[in-house]
Amino acid sequence: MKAVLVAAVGVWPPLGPDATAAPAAPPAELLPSRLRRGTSMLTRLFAEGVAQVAAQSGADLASVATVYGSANGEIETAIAQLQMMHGDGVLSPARFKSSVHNTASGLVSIAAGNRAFSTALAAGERTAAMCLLEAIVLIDRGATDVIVALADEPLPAPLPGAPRYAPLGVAFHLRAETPPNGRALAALRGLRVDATAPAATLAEPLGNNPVAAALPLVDAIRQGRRGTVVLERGGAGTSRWCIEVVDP
Amino acid sequence: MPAGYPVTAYAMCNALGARTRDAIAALSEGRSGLEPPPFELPFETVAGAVPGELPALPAAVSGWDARVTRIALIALAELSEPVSRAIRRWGKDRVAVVLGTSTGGLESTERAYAAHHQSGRLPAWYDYDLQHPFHAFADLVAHVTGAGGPTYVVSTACSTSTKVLGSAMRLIGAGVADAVLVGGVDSLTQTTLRGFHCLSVLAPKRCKPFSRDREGMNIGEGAALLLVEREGEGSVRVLGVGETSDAHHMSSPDPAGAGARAAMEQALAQAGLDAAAVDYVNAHGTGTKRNDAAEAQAIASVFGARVPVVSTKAFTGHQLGAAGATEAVFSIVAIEQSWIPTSLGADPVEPDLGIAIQLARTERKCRVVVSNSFGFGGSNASVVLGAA
Repeated sequence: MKAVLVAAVGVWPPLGPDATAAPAAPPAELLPSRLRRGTSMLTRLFAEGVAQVAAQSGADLASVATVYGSANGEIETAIAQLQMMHGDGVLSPARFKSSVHNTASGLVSIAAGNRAFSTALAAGERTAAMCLLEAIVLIDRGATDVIVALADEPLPAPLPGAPRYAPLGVAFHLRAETPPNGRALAALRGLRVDATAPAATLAEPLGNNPVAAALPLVDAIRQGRRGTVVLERGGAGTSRWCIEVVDP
Repeated sequence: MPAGYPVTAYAMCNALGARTRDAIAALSEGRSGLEPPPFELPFETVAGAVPGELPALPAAVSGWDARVTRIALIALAELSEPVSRAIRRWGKDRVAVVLGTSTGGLESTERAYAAHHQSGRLPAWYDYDLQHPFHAFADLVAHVTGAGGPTYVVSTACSTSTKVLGSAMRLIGAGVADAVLVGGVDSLTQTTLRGFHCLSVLAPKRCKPFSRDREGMNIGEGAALLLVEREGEGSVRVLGVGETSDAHHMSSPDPAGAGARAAMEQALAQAGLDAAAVDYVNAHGTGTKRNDAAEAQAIASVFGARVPVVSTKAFTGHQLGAAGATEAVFSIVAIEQSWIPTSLGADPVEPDLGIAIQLARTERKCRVVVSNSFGFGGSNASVVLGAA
């Protein structure tokens, strides 16, 4: 497969010195208020990531293909529905239709008037790697550009170990060709399993979020580093998904 | 080289039967699997449960034990030999696992939450990481089969397990995999039954897709798995998959059916076929007023009233994330065995739909079938399956 170009990278909350100034939830202004009202942290993370990369690269949100990925999905909504079930027993229509894994896919497509390809994936620790794979393969099969949006929200009580981690969203705008603004940040190739790759080590409180697996790639692209980036955090086994970051 | 990729093996379990042959026999004989739900609800409905006691998982993988994984392994048991053969032929790292679900292990979390509500403690049997997240059952399937290629779950509500066929075609086409075990699995949950009831789209009796008298949908559970390979012996090939978005509403289809129509047209274009080549359309056909009207309009705009159209939801219930793969298997059976099932419950058909709803099981030579799956979020997927 050919290398794909990275036209933009988005992250919420901001990393580094800007982190302390971040609001408690992403603004997610891509969604008009009628669609944003009552949305979960997860959906806001996704919408924020898509908006960030579109603002950087000029991606056409009315036509770009989208791949959403989350290890635990709309877990806050799932548990809220169980609370309702054990309360008055009646579920909320608004909550129920926002409980699916592809909620953000639906809402963003409605907001942008986008009738193109969109999917929503889950692969646990390998969610970032598998979403990049789906996007790279889409481009190989003819898609011109794909936004990959990754997000996970904290686990709600009473799930074991809740909340486990802080909210985190990451997005990449990948293209087959040079973006409209004339420059690409990097190129990606060689997505593969490497039996010798070390696990990425990441700091708390984001480090336990499954999306943190994508932060070394974000960092490499933003810092202009080239070379192999591991797309999985620690865990059992020795084989980990990796990708090569090269000049565009 | 022939278009698409062969389906070299398939299996399913659902309300029609715990074995593939039983489910096919019930479909052929026009027997519905819908019964009162296996748990109490504060309203009337019927549901499609996999019959009988579901075998517990083997001790070596007992941590994954959940209703959804039990259902998955029932179907997988029928495919152990073909998947092993594919691993021997292609190598384990060239065999991918791409499965779909809408609710994953939610049924386990519902029971654990209920126990916590009673006692203030989660039960000892509950392991969130192995039983709830979507990837858990896909990892289990990969572990049990020994498949070592890319493993992930697609979850786009009710279009899920038609979209996995699109992923399989791309993974093989791009050279990432040589075989992909695809499918969908979902179990009945309180959340889905109560949720669709709160949207006022759950039927109190057996659903009647495309009928003038339809009152809504029923929910079902099940699993369907298909092995798609780069090359191999298979009487049916996956020829094209169309995937679009409505961009209209989270839970109601675009009334004009534009996204659904585009999905069918994309699938046909990928297959390199005209609408005239299609012998049969397996409709999404949930039985809700809005879905059936919008889908009929979309089907009519692509095929006119020439092609027989069937919904099988009154046989199995709507299996959500397992619906697309199950109906892909039903479509393969139509091609292999040259018969089309009756669109159970459709009589008397809603007038002016503009499509040819099939009111009886019919012997018919089918070379090309289109199967539709549409879901929340305006997610649409259509697959074209054709005789090899």
